[in-house]
Amino acid sequence: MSAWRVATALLRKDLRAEWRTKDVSTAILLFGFTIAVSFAFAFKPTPDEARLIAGGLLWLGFLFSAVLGLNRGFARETANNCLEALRLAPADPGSLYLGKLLSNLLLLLLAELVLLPVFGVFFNLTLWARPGWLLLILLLGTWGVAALGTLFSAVSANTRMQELMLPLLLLPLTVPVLVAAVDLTTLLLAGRPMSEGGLQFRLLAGFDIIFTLLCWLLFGYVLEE
Amino acid sequence: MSDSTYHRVSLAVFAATVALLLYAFYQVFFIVPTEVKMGVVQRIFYIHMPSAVVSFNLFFVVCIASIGYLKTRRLAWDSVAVAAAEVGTVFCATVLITGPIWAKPVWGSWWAWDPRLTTTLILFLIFVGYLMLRLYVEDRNRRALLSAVVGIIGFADVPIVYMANRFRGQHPAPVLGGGEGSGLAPEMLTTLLWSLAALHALGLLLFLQRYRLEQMRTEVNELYRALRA
Amino acid sequence: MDVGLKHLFWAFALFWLVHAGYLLNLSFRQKRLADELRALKESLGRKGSV
Repeated sequence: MSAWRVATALLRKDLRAEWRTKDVSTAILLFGFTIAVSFAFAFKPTPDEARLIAGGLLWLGFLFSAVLGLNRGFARETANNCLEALRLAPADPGSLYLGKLLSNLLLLLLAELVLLPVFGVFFNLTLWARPGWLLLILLLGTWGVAALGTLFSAVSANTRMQELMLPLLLLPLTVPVLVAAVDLTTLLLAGRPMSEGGLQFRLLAGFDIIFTLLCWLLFGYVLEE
Repeated sequence: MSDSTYHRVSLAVFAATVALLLYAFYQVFFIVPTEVKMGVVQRIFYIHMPSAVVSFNLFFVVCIASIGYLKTRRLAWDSVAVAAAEVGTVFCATVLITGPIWAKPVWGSWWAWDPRLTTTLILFLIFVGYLMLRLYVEDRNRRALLSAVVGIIGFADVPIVYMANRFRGQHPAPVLGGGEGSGLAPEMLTTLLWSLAALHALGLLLFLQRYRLEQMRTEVNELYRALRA
Repeated sequence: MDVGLKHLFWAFALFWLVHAGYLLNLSFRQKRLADELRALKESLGRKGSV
């Protein structure tokens, strides 16, 4: 089976499982909503202040929810010994990684798109003035988190501490994504020209490419018996 | 490495380290002139910056050793990795301690998002995570495998973290030790080089001790297995 | 100048405290392992002669 077919097969299996159980999406949505409310209570910003800090709050919210979602996503694999099935499958681990990456990415993006209006309401943000740019930032940022998160959820599933290991490993490593995505989102919300974010866009794209490649290469080792 | 070789090398490195440290100390406190803008506090630079260099070099060793393990599956590589990671984390901690102590009198605040210090903070967190991961995996081979993966990715992230923080913010962040490279007085350069040598020697000494510890641990586990057989 | 000296002192002091602490920790661990190693070798010796 070609790499692409394996990846898409895995993607379809994950999406179908998710559609049935709605494990990951409920986790991300509920948790994200709770975070948004907590932030609103903690900061209570004026509309001007909100525009300055919303980028940070949004991406922190996404990041924390993503950790939760990634954990639950992989928990599903270990629960039914699907990992065994994956290991024995006559497919190269790189394709398995790509499939998992795509399913994680899609689920995270979906949850973020639902959470955006929630943040928008609590912080009085005009989010949809430039939807194309917003979606691009979301895609690039979430890709970075998903690329590392997919690998590291597999790593942490192997440890005694399980879910607690993932944020410990993932959060420091995704700092470049956090920094760039927050800066870009703040630019967007402030109505500034996106050309000012050229460096950050390049950084995000570079991060995504480098770590997707690296994790694709290394995933096989993590799956090893 | 046999016992006697180890002890001889250890002793040699220990002697060299002590000598270098004493000479560097002499340089830092009696030879090098006081910096004009910052005053005596600037002397912290001579342990702050070399420590950062040592910790970075040690994390590079972690990366190389991780690749070495993945390619050869020989546990000696893993022992190198964990020894380098632990010692590197210690040096990293001292960078993070001396940094704010230096920053406070110079800029009035403990932390200033200096891109180099910020990157060191993330580096510290990455390798604390690395060490914690190792604590929670029982099987020796699985532990080596997972650590190797994390070690490679962790190290690859560091330059990107630096770039992300370098280009951040509207006003340029103050850079600690802004003197190095650009107009560093020749007397200061000499002292810096001696400090670098001394701290690298210290790093090597600590690394050898830690590596030896790992070898002993491996031996203990093998004996346990032989006992049970 | 005075403030500077205090900070200079603390920076160097803490630097050496951390390293000394680590060295002590390492020697403590080494000693414990050495003891364990000796005990194991003894029991293996005994086991072999049984």
